[in-house]
Order: sequence, then structure tokens, then C-alpha cells
Amino acid sequence: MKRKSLSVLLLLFLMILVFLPGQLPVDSAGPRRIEVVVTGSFGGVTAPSGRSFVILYWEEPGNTAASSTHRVFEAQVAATGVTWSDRGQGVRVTSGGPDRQEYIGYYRYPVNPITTAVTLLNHRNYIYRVGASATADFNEARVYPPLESAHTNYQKHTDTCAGCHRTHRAVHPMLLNRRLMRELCLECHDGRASKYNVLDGRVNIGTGWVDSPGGPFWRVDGQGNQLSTSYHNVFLEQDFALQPTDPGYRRLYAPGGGGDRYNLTCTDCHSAHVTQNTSPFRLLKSQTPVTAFPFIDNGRYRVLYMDGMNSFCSNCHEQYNYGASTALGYPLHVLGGGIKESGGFYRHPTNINVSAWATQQTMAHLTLPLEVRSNGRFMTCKTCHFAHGSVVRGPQPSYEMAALDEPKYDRVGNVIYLGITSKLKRRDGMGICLECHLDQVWGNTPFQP
Amino acid sequence: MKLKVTLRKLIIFILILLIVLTAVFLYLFLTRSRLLDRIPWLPASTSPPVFSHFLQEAALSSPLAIAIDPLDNIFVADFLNGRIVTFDRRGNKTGEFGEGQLTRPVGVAEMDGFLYVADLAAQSIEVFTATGHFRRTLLASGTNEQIGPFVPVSLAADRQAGLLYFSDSAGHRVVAVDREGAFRFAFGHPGSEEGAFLYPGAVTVGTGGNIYVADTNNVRVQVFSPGGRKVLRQLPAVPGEEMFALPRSLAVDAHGNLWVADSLTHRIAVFGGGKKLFEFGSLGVSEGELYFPNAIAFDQAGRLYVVERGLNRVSVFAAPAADPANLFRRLTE
Repeated sequence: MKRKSLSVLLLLFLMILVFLPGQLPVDSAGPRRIEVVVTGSFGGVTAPSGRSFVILYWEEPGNTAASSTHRVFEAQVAATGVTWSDRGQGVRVTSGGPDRQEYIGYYRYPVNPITTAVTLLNHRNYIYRVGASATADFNEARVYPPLESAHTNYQKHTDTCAGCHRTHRAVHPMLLNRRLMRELCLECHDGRASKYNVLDGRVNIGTGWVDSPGGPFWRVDGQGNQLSTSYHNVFLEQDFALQPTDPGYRRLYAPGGGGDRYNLTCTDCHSAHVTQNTSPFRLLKSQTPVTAFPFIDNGRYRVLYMDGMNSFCSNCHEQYNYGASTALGYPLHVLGGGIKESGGFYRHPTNINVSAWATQQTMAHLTLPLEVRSNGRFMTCKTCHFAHGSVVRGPQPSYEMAALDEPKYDRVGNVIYLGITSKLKRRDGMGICLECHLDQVWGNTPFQP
Repeated sequence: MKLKVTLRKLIIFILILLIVLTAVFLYLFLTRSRLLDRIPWLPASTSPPVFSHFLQEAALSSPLAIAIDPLDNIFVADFLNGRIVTFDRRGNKTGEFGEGQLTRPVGVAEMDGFLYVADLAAQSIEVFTATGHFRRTLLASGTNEQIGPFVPVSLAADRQAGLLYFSDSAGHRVVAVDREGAFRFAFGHPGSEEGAFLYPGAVTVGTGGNIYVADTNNVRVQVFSPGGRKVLRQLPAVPGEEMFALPRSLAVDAHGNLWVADSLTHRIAVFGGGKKLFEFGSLGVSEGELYFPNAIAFDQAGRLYVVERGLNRVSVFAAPAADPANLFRRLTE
């Protein structure tokens, strides 16, 4: 009997040994959340002019040591790639610390927000990763001094939820206090309360406002003339209730949309909140993360794209995303070999590695954005197109869609697209093509490398 | 116990009831106007009607600012249409101007018969006559060494001192210039501490020359002494206390009370004597409700004009018949 009891106890002990580790908190993928504090003064100390204090907080369940197990890495972004500077471990926040009144956190970077303060330039983008390394098992925080992001940090001021939401008397199914999504977004992003002015396509980089990489939705010149020659039309929400007899009804049909109406608005691409399905870059909504890092390059606001943009665009433009890493698997952009039929048409491929041309004249002057990956530089939708809108001149008929060639109709038979458009392009006319194909049109002889 | 009801008693009871009800009705009828006056946020029938509904006659598109001159001419900055639309006090559209000179008018102020317009996209301050004739560019970003680059997001006039104030979203500061555009002083820097700003919005000048600034992204209002030398107080007084969501516009009434329009809570709060007196407004599109109020101003009769960006509408509210502070006390006592 005694032996039997011992056997049972031993079995129980073994079971505990086997299953217990699985029940303990595992934090191998970096902290579950990072809270960012951005402030002009801390502990009675004012940040230097043009800078703000930045402090990161995160939890490490089960850790009671003075130092965090996670390390902090800061991105250094350039046109050629991103490198990560190891800023060391965080320190456990104690009740007697300088930030005791501020946040009930667990670990903090920097070690002391005053004596080892991190002050960052206002109106610049900073990217931090906290975890085991900068390339795996991390969580990422984007910091935009002098503001704490309005799209995060709600737990500090819970009433800020009420700035956008109503619990019982909302006028939008997402419990929002506005009827149209863009109204809410433009309340800040019209140039008055955010560094990113989406109407005019300008970004405040601290030394002034410069063109944004997304382009403008609706830019006008000094004479009030409309400059935008194409844009993703996010101004349609109130038109969706129009009847087919109303002229404005046609605007609901996206060019190439195949006759389906679409009620496009800001939150079709961007989330207002940080969620599991949003990318840190621009809070883009995509199951496939978009990896990209903004940076300032000689007074210009640029973005280092690394991965995921094609996949993001193909959430809607599903027949345009093919190339090197897709099932079609074309290693090079070679006429006849690289261009295949997709959705009933032959289309210029995206997602192709253009590094093979790196030594040629065409690549020497190429300034269009490419995705910089470990195995080369890849063409993306954003290589040729803006995401928001374009102001390039020389708009042309869209032959695939205009009445000149193949008009598109809506479901009641109206021609839905007759105009001309710059198609969100980054260069006038066919200037986009010449960025890569200059050697094919330059002179009468083949280019000699 | 049995209650014996006779016909006589029943008739007497009905008569008494009728007398009481008549008295109550007469009291309510005779005091109805006073009751309405005691609720200042109801549009009164004697005030001009709410005008410019939903892109109708005036066809405003994202109006963001308003100025009213001593003759009660009303100037509205029509942000997306790049123009100024003028109205009389009855709400009739009397004209429009600025197309060709303005890109994104975001602030307006009247002084000495001239209308000054802050243009966000052109990064400049333009001058027009009250009848809409373009006079000159008063100031352009980067053209004044003392001021440097700027992006104006609001404009206010101090007629007594002959100064124009504009808030600058590039430098997170408030800049004062004179009628000729010469730099007088500036205050503020990026940050959240006292005296600092994050995307400052409206500026207005109160009695005694105190300067009120809607520190929009710090979700507060700061009150400065003349010249911006010292912070006198902040609303909310306790940092972290939640009083606003996005304070956009400010106006000081004849009694020295501060009115704050909050565009995200769709409310207007009134402060006086160091405390909040009352607030009004709620999300909605009906008269008396507000939808993204972005600018407020008083006319000479003390009527409050509210520019609602979300409806492309200007609503007019009855003038408080008395000091709002006393009014509020009557309401709450």
C-alpha cells in the first residue's frame, strides 16, 4: 500500500515537472506591450530646446531582478538599411524612483530618466525594439517626439476614449461620435494638430514642413487651383447612400474595380489603434506585417521599405502582386519570362529583384523607393505609386478603363470612368518608366555598361 | 370608515382642481420667456436663425475660423474652398473673397477695418479690406529673420494694443506682430510643461491684455500675462485632470468669462472667477446641438457664433441676458 502511494506521488511529481514549465509565463517574444512617455520636462528638469525626454516602460512577469531580461535596441535608419544599436537592459522601477508618481510600470529605459536621460529631437521618428534581440523575439515601439502618440497610451487618460467614442449615444456603428470616419481623422491631420498633414501631403520634420512620401489627398496651389491629379478617394462616405441616378454615384466605383462599389475611407488602410493586425509603420492594417522605417535624408522625409508593402496593397489590388517571392517565382524581370498573365491581363510585375541592374546606368540615378531586403532590392507598388495622392502633371487617359479603349460600366449600365488620371504616379507622364528603362529609349544604340 | 361622496362635494373638488391647474398654467405662461433666458444654450427665437446648413447657399467646406467686426460683419474662413465668406448678422451671405489669394485659410482677425487671414498651406498672413479687396501679404514664413519659418494655425487681434497673434504649429509657439508685420514678441516651445505647447490652436486676448492659448495637444488652456511673460493659470489647474478632449477655439465675453470650444466632445465650456461655470452642447445635427465646433466668436450684442466644421454650419446662440456666472448660480441654487 505504502509502495503504491509512493508511486502515485512520484507520478504526480513527474507530471508537475512536465507541465509546470508550460504554465509559467513565457515572454520569449519580447514584452507584451511597451508604454512610451514623451515629455518636455521630467522630475523638474526641462529637456534641451528642440528635444523631449523619452522613457519606455514594459512588464516582465515573474522577473524580480534589478535588471530586465529584455534589452533595448534603437534603430539607425538609412537609405541602404537599418542597423540596431544595443542600448542595454532596463532597470526595475522602484517605489522610490524618480517616476514613482507617474506610472506603475515594471522595467524602464533609460536607467534613470534624469541622470542618464534620453532626449530625442522633436518631430523625428524613433524606433525602439525591446526583447532578446533586435531581429527576433522583440516588441516594437515607435516614438514621435514631442507627442505621445494619440493612437496609443489610452490607459493613462481613459477619458481620452471619449474623444472619439460614445458608449450609448454614438452615431456610427463603431461607437464613434461622428458620422464619417474622415471627419475624425482630419480633425488632427489637416495640418493643425499632427506632424502629418494628409490633405496637403506635408510632414513636419522639425526644420519645416516637407513633402510626405504618401503624397497629398487634396492639395491646392496659391490660386486655389486643385493640384491633385489622382488620389485614393476617401471622400466618399456620405455618397454611399446616393441613388444610381445621382451623378455622384459614379464616384463610388474605383477605376478597375469591376463594377463593385466601394466605400473607401481612412480606416480601410489604417487602424486608429495598435492591434495584433496592424503594422507599427503607419498602423497599416494587414495580416502580413509591413516593415518600413521613416527617416530624414538631407532634409527630405523618406521611408526605408523592407517588406510587406506589396502584400498590403494586394489586399485590394489582388491581381497586381506577383514576382520573385510569389508562387510564380520569377527571379528576374525578363520580358517573356517575367511577365505573366494575371487576372486576364499581362501586367508589369511587382516584387521583383532589381539588384541585377545595380551597376548599370539606370540604377545609378534611380531615386524611387525600393524594398531593401537581405537578398536584394525589390520593386514594390510604392516604387511607382503614391499611396494617398499625386500632383504630377501630364495626366493621361487610362486606356484600360477609359472610353477610348474599354469602358467600364456599373451595374445599371452607366460608364463609370471617362476622365484622365495620373494614377497616383510619382513622376510625370511616363517618367516612371524611364527611371528603369532609360537605356531602352536613350539614343540609338544599346547601353554599354 | 365609510367615505360618503355627495354630488356637491365632487363639484367643489373639481372646481378647486381647475383653479389650481389654471394658476399653474398662468404662472408658467407668464414666466416662459424668463425661463428660456435662463438657459442660454437654447437658440432663442429672437436671435438670428442658424444659417448655412449643409453646403446649401454658402456651400462652406470645413470652415475653421470666424471673425466679427464692430459693425457685426461676419467673416468665416472656408478652409477647403480657400476663401473667406461674409455674412450679416441675420445670417445672409453678403459676399466671398480670397479665391486666388488664399489656399487654406485657417485663421481670421479683424482690426482697424482690415481683415487679416492666416493661410496654413501658404504659411503666410494676408491682408484684405473689409470688403474683400486684397491689400498685401503681411508676413510670409521665413521672410522675417526674427520670426523665421512658421506655419500659422490661428489668428487673433488685440485692437487696443494694435497687435496680431498667431499660433505656429512648426515652432509650437505664439508669435505677436504689429500692424506692419514687425516682430514684437513670441512665447512657448514644444513640450508639456507649464508655458510649453504642443500644436497650439486658438489665441485670444482678454481684459487686461491677458493672452489665452488653446494648447490643443496638451489638452489644456493656458493663460499668460501680457507679453506672454508668465503663465497665470492653466485649465485644468491640475495636470492630468481631464477637462477637454481637443480644445480648439476660445472667446472672451463682455463679462470677462472664457468660452472654450472643444471639437471632439462637441461642447462649449464657460469659465469665470477661476472655475467652470457651465457647459453646453452635445453631439448632434439639430439646432442647439454641435458637431465639431472649431471656432467661436461674439458679436456686439453678445450673441455667440459657433462654426461647426462637421456640418459646414454656423450656429448662433442667444446672448446671455446677464452675467453667465450669476445665471449659472441661479440655475444651480
